[in-house]
Amino acid sequence: MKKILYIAGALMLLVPAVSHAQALPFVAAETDAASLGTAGAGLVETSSVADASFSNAAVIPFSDNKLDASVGYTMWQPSSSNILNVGVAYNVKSKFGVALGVYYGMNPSYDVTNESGAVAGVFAPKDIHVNAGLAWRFLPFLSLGANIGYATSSLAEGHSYGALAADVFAMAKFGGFRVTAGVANVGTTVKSASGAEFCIPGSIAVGAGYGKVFGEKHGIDVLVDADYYFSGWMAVAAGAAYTFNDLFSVRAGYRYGGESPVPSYASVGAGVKILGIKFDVAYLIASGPVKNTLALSLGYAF
Amino acid sequence: MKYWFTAVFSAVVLFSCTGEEIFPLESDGSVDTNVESVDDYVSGEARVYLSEELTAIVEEALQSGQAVTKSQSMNTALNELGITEMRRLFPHAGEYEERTRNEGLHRWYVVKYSADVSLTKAQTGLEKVDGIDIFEPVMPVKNNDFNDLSSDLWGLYNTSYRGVDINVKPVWSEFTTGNPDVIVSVVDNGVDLTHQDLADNCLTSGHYNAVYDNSNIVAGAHGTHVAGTIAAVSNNSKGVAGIAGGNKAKGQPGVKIMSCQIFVDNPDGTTSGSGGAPAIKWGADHGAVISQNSWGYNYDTDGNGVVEGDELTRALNARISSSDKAAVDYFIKYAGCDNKGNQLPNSPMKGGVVIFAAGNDAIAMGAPAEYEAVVAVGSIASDGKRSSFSNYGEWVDICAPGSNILSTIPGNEYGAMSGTSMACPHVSGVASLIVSYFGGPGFTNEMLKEKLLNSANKSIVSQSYKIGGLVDAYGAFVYGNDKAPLEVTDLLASGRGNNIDLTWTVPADEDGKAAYGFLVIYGKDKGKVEAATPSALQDVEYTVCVPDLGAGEKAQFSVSRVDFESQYYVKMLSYSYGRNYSKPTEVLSAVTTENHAPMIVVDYQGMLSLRSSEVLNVAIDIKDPDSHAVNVVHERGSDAETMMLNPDGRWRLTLKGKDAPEGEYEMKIIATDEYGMATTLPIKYVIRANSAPVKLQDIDDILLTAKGKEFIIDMTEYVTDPDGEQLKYEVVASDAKIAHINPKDDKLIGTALGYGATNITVVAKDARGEKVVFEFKVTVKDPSDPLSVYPNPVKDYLNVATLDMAETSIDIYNSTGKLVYSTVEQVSATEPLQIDMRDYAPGTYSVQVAFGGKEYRKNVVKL
Repeated sequence: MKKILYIAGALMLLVPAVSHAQALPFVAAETDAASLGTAGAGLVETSSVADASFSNAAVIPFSDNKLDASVGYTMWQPSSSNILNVGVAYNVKSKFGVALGVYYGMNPSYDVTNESGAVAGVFAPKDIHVNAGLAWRFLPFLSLGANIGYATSSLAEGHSYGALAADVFAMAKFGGFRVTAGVANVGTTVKSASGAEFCIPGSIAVGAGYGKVFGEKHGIDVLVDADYYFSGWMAVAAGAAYTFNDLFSVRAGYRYGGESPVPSYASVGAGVKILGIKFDVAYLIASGPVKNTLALSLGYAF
Repeated sequence: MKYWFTAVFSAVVLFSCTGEEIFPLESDGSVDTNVESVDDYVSGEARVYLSEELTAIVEEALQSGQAVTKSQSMNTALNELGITEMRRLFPHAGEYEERTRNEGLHRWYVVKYSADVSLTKAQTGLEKVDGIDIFEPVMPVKNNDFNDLSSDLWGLYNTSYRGVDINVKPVWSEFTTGNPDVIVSVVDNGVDLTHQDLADNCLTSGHYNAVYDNSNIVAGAHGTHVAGTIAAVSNNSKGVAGIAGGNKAKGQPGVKIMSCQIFVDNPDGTTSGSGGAPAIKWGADHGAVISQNSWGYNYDTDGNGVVEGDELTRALNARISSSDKAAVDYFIKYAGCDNKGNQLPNSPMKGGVVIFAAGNDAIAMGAPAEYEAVVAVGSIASDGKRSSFSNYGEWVDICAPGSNILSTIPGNEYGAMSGTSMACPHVSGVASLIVSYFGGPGFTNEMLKEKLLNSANKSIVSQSYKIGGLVDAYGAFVYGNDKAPLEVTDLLASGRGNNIDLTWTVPADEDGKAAYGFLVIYGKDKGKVEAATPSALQDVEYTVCVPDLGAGEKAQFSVSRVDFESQYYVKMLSYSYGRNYSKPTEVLSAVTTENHAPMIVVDYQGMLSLRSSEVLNVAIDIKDPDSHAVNVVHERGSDAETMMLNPDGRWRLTLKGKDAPEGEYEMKIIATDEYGMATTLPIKYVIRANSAPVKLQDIDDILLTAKGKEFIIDMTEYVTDPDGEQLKYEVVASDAKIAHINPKDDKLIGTALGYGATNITVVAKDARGEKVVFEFKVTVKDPSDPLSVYPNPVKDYLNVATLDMAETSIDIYNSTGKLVYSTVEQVSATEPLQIDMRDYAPGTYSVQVAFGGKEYRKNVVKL
């Protein structure tokens, strides 16, 4: 852990403090509808861990379910990208966790133009992010989790850019209170066509949450995440979810993006769960360009 | 072979025992200053002419098969020289042996001796034999051809240069195409007797191989080619037509070819041979009346294709060998005759004509053709000029087509060859036609030569070529048969330089037919001029003129290259095509003048002056008052000058101001006539200073709103040249797919080709290359798509262009929606905002632009 933090600290010094200098920013964006309903605050969310490979694998052993899987669709503004993501997490006797996720972003095509502005064709960029995670709950209240993945963008004919990305977290749970800390999106750099190198948006991340069920039917979960990016920016997301009878959920949250790659927004969401089958939806409310972003997911957990 | 004399080595032993005098190896020890060397002759072989007494002794020995003779000195020579063979040069002639002996030809012997014996030693040894009157080394011979491929029977009918042919077509239509009673002996390598275009006109027997002294003919290309020119079967829908080849379609046979082979083709592709003399004689003894000889002595001993140095000296001094001369004389005397020299009843001609090629060394001599008794034939090309290879000289009697002649070659093939070898059979062919028509009892070889030589067309071939007139078949047939025109009555003569200018009126004959040509006889001796006749021109100079004018028309002609400042006497005779001459005019006197220098006349007054941008053309007349050829030298004053001779004969001086720095120059024109008389004309000119073009204003950027839209830029609003030059415009577009601009005079005519923006560079240059450069942008914008971002993908700078100039808000978001760039600027289509994106990470970005109350968005990719 010391070593990982040391590396993270070193990277922080190297990363330029400008948001457009962050490569592959989509690795920092939450697209799971359940998490997006709470403005992306979900590092310690234990009720929905299908996308843990993209966030915090350490949460899997504390999951309420043995298996959690989901398929999601997000129309992310402002570029109207159509994103498909698939995630699955397996909780092995609340001792170990295994997760796998695939992100496939289909960006709108653009006109290829030359230096004179003459249109020479069209091209549709694509983003792919594949992650795998492992977790080990080595104490009843404490677990460790790590994700490793590869993200790539195909931007033009013959031009693809990719990087390895890793997350490492420790998580503790004491009754309804959970807390986690780690590093997210620590990885290799991306080299531009002109030879300049750019980091992916890595951060030191912490998360906390408290959940409690009242009267056996009314569940409340409050979540807070904070990221301190190596480039010096701070982002905080907070959200809450109310669940009735483990059947129906509503969610709301707010993200303060600051100068980070993902801007500020508010979110609302809802979910239904019947016989282990889950359907969640989230909608972003913002004055900025991400407004009207919509996410849907369909999952199954038992 | 029957007469071989075998001198075996036993004879040598026998002579050694007799104690006879031993001759020294060298004849007299003196230094041989003759340029000839033994390498110039056939080694191990000589020809000797024996006395009657020695001939009888040798014949006796030959008949008895003895190895010794009754002549001690002869036996000594046999011994010392290692003589291995001795035989008659002219074999026994059967029924014609009597005349052979009468002419002494039986006394010529071929002596073959050891190759180790030098020619000098052989000559010394044999000349000391009592009774050997003549010792003659054997000259190597060669045929006279050049291999070349072409397809043209221009020698018979020239369609490119009218009149430059043997004029045989009217003979075929009006007189004859040949007669099989006339036999032409082709002394050459063997004729392909089975060639599809020759077989009908070849004798079925009577051919002779002089190389091997038998009748087996081995076909060779040269001999077959020669035979085809004479008598290839005509009008048979095959190959070529011969001159006297008959008319197959009408069932008329041509003259007959007798092949007398004197060459063999060597395995290395060369040809060698000897035996011309016996081959010539064979023809006379076997019915031929024309002896065709396309061969001569070889003086190119080093084989480099050029006769030079000692070779040339020998060639120029060469004469026909005695044995060959004897054979030629025999043929002329006995061809067509019996032993008494009387014409045989079935012979078409009394006596023979021997025709020889002049040779291909391009020199003023050629043996054996130089022998006066033979008809020596030079060669012309299809343009009427002497063939480059043809020998020449006063000894050449007549010329004929010899360059690129198509004829038969063995194996039913056809090909072209060049050489006097090819010219010679043209004359032989015409001669055989003449005999075919005029031949019969009383027709003599002298009659044939008169028709053949006197009718030659001297007007087509320059006298300076020294190859005689061009053989004229029709002329020979009408020779002496038409009417003579009336004499010229108004001849005027005057001297001009070394010319005698003549003017006269063309007369006609009594039927009104205009005179064909005019014989001009001139000289400094009035008496000789007065005495000269067309058949006696030895003591005077003469030339001919064929003006192609009608009766009554004025003709003029100049006799050129006579002496300067001399008194000449001149007279003229008109003549018909058949060479019937009129009475001569009175002898006139003309005094030639001194030589006059050439004249140079420039069509310009004062000093020539031109701007740097100008081109000045000046016509210059350079003429020689005496009609001499003029050599013109141009001494340049600068690189601005060029001088060319126009087709009209005038010179043109061109001055190009741009090709030399400004300044004053002087050039010279030096005209020199062929006698060295020169005129020099200096010409001064000035190239004025150049002024560079001046920019008046920049060219504004251009916005076009539709493809195909045109625009015109009048460059006179933007640039001017103080010298008033028409400037040249060079236009370069950074993207030729956006707009095309074409300069025309002072206008640039542009067309929008596609949407986008292109930088245009216009260079306006004057003649000296001084220039003004304009740069502007042409933007072609689609009004329905006002926001343009380019290039996309972008590596460094992104251009954001709108339509008209307006305050524009520009925001750029990354793919997760983070605002990464924001500004408000005045932006238009022609002045786009350029955003430095070099520090932006690769990825997709969204560009959102607001202007004119509307928002627009485009995605951009940064690489």
